[in-house]
Amino acid sequence: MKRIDYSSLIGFIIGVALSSVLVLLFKENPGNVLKVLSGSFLQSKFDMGLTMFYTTCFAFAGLAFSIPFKAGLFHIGAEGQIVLSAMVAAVMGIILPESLGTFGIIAICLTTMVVGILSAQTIAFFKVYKQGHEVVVAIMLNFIFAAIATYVVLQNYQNTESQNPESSLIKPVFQVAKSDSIKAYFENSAVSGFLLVAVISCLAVWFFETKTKWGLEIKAFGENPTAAERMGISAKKINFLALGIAGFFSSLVGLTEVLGSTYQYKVGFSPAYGFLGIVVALLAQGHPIGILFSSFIMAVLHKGASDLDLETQFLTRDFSKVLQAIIIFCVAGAVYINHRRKKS
Amino acid sequence: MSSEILLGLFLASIRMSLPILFAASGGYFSEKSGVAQIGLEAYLLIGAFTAAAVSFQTHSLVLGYVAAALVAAAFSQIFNILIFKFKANSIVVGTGMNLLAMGLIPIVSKTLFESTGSTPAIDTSDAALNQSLIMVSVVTVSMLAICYWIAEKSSFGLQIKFAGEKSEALTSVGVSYIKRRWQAVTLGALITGVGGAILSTYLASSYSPLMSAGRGFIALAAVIFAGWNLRKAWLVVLLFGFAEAIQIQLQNMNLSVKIPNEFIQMLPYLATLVALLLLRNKQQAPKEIS
Amino acid sequence: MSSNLIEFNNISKSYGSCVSLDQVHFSILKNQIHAVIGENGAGKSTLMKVLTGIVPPSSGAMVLRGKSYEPESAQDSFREKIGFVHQHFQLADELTGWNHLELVARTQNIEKKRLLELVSEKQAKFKWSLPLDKKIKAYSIGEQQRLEILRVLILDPEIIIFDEPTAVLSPDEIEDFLDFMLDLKKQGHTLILISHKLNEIKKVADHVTILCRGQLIASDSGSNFTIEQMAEKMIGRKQQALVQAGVNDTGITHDLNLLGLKLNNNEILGVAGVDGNGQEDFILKLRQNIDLLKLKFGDISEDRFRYSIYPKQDLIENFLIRHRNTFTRLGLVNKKKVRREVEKIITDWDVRPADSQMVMGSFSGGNQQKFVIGRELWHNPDVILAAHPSRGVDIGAQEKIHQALLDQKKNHRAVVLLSSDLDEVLKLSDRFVILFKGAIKGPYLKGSLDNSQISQIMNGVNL
Repeated sequence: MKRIDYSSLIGFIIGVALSSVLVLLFKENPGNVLKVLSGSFLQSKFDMGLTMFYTTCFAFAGLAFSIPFKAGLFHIGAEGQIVLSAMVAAVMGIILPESLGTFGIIAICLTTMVVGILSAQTIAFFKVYKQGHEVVVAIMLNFIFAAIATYVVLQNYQNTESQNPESSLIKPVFQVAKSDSIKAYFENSAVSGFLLVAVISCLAVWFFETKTKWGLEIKAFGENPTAAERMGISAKKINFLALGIAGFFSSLVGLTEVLGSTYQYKVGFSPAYGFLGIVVALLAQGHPIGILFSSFIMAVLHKGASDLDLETQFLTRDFSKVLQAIIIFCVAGAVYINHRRKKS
Repeated sequence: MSSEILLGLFLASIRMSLPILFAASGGYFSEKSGVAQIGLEAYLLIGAFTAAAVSFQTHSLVLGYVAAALVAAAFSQIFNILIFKFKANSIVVGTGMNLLAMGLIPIVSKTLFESTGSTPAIDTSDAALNQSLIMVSVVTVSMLAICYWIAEKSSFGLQIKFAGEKSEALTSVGVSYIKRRWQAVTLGALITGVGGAILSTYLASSYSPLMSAGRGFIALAAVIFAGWNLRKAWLVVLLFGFAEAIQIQLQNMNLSVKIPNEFIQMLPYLATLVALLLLRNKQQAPKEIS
Repeated sequence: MSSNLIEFNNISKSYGSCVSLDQVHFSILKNQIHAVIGENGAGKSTLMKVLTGIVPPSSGAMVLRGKSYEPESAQDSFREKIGFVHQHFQLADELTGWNHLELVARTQNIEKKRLLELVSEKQAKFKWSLPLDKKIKAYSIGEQQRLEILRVLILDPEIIIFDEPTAVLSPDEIEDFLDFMLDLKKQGHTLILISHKLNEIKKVADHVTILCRGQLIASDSGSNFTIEQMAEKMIGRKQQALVQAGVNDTGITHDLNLLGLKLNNNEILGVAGVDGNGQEDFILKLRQNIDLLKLKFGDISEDRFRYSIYPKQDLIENFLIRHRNTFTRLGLVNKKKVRREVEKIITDWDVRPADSQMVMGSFSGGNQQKFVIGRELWHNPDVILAAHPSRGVDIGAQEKIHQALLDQKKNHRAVVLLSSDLDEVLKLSDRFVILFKGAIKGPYLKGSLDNSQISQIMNGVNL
């Protein structure tokens, strides 16, 4: 039984502690800040529900980063895929005829998933056929997909009843989450049945990685691609498979947002889920079950940071970015220190 | 199109390209030495804010520029320590740097100026604008000359190339490649910071939130598009600037066929992808980039 | 009259609890070719790193030209006129020859004009004409080595260290290089030769120092050692004789479809040739044809790290991924069965330590290779490729590996032995071919050619 590595958790705690101390520079009380950060999600069922919504999105984003990572790919393209798939989900929800009913919902889900998978596999295409580095291609695609999504929505589907840059609502028959019991329990906050999907996803990925041939092949390829290819594991297959799965999870974030929460596409709805997914994955050191927990922790913080605006004088919700940055740094540092300790 | 309009377009594209020109130069040094640099956005913002704040307080443009350069260089030390001392991944830390800058600046701004939005406007009288123009011209020309000299003529520049292609070659002549990379990153941040200063004090008259608007990434795209060659990167930046200038011109002309704003915005990224698509592996990233 | 140029006085170097050098004490005389020999891990490279200032000794001192010598960086060693020609070239593919020379020159403040003079002078002296304006990726291996040497020579070193210089050269090029060394000696240089090629050392070395596991075993005039004695001292014991299996007459022949080459299942077919003459292509075609013929294949690859092992995973996982299809049903893998098989391999091949759950990276090179061989023979392959099987493996494990390959003939398996070590090929093969620029010369029966003939064929002469 391999011992669990707590170094990233320790790094996380140090990061939070450091950030709290940092607030002294802005004449705020660290204790107060910590209280707000850690207590915000408990204030009411609604707050808890919102936190669980964030957890859902973070979990999917975390999986979207960690699976390609196991294959040796640094996948930072989730943000673009999330935005693109959300747009597709919203547009489908607007244009599909009401008469399709449940089939319509299924159609929306499937189309969105396919879009997510294919948009992520674009990165695989460039990597496999054009030797394009996945980080560069992903950064480019993030901007391109965001531009496309914004353009499509604002040009053709702008919500006429609002000044905000957002799409109209999807047709009521598709607003399935309205009758969602999880949402009802959490006082109609953003959370929905997709929370369960997230939990199942993490379990499924864990099973995939440890018990299936493809999972083992991905791991082998990630560690030593030349050896894997020599043993008959195709680089093409691994790249497209790993990124395809990642794109699938990115699309689930889009669905969680559109079908499960707002029933529309709002420009800028994502608080950088794609990038925060990286932090979630790092915190959990890539372990799918760990991602469940680390996404919850990040969600708690994210929720807490949004309250800082009101509860403090100088700190704004931008502080959540500072918090996230310091956590990234401390987790990276702690993992390294632990790595050095183990070596000697 | 009349030559007047063309000249206007040309000047406009240069003007708008300036911050990206600096960011691309800064990004070049870092990337060439083997350190992937996606944190250019952070240095632009830091430089922009610092220059606007300091110029306002001291009524001196020069101090604003100097402060922008120094603060950006200092900020990059966080990145350096994490990358070189803690062996963290440069993409992850670069993302953190961007987040940190975007998060800290409004808070600092609120503390100093009671506003999370724009900083107070600096002097925009005619005399001030002229001084600004002279300042920018001198700084830009100097930057181009100095960067070219460092990159292609100096011993440092040669060692940077080796740091990115074969670091053992440096070790065998007793030069620390870690030290060179550290210096390259710092230099890059410094130059980018100056680009930020131009953004807030010349292209605008104050700092406004997130005013870099992705320019850091466009600069990175330019460096990659240009195959990690400094002078080519400058040309690419001008090309991108030209596209942006044309788009604004077209908007002003109120044509019935309008190229969507978003399309122009994604042009640099699309172009880089297309280049990757068409050019067969001719442009190689520095072998040791990570 | 020679005098002490360099003195190593009780030099020790430890990395943590790992002792690389243990009280090494000897001297190098002026204007000699001094060989330092030993197995992998004996401490030769560490000693050179200490000499050139790349690492400091943990204890002990050095004396250079009668004065105390404590270098703090490679630059100090340059100032003291010590040059180091590395085994693995430190050349950047995308930069030009001039870039590399400039790099060295500018760190020592040599001006461009002076550099140009030096370069033409040195090139003229040895009749070289390197394409200095071209990028390294356009250089041949021989040209790369010459550039490496030129990099060192422009600083006019008195002492030159050569680390395994003939590893990538053909027999004739080796002769030329040995002459080159003697030439340098005549010009007054002092040369330190690090090598394990005992026959070359016997030819040129004036003095031989032997290291084994960090300790100095002997240091004496070259004429006082025979090659066997040097080998014995290097590994610490006498070499064992190999047991030759009897050759079966009845056997199956596989038509390899490689320019008419046929492989018998009761032989070892050797593939000799200097690195870079089409070995990669040969291996690829071999694998492809074996695949087409649907033969079972044992792959002891030419580069363990690149092609055979996953250092971060344990032995069970390293086995499983190789034979994954055998243990997969409906897409799911069965790890329990795997463990039993791995334990057997560990026992049969004496893999130490006997821990199937230890990560591959923690095993020594020899044990890794033994495991790989056990894994590659596990499924009773029809054809076995053994490519550079003893690379990076100490002599003890090497003997086991050679014996194992010979034993395969008894099991009706065909072995293709590809190696740049000509001695290894000639010792084990029943028949052998020689690769030259992608062409396959041969096959020749064991013992049918003498060394001179082999050398000529390796250089393209058609006999």
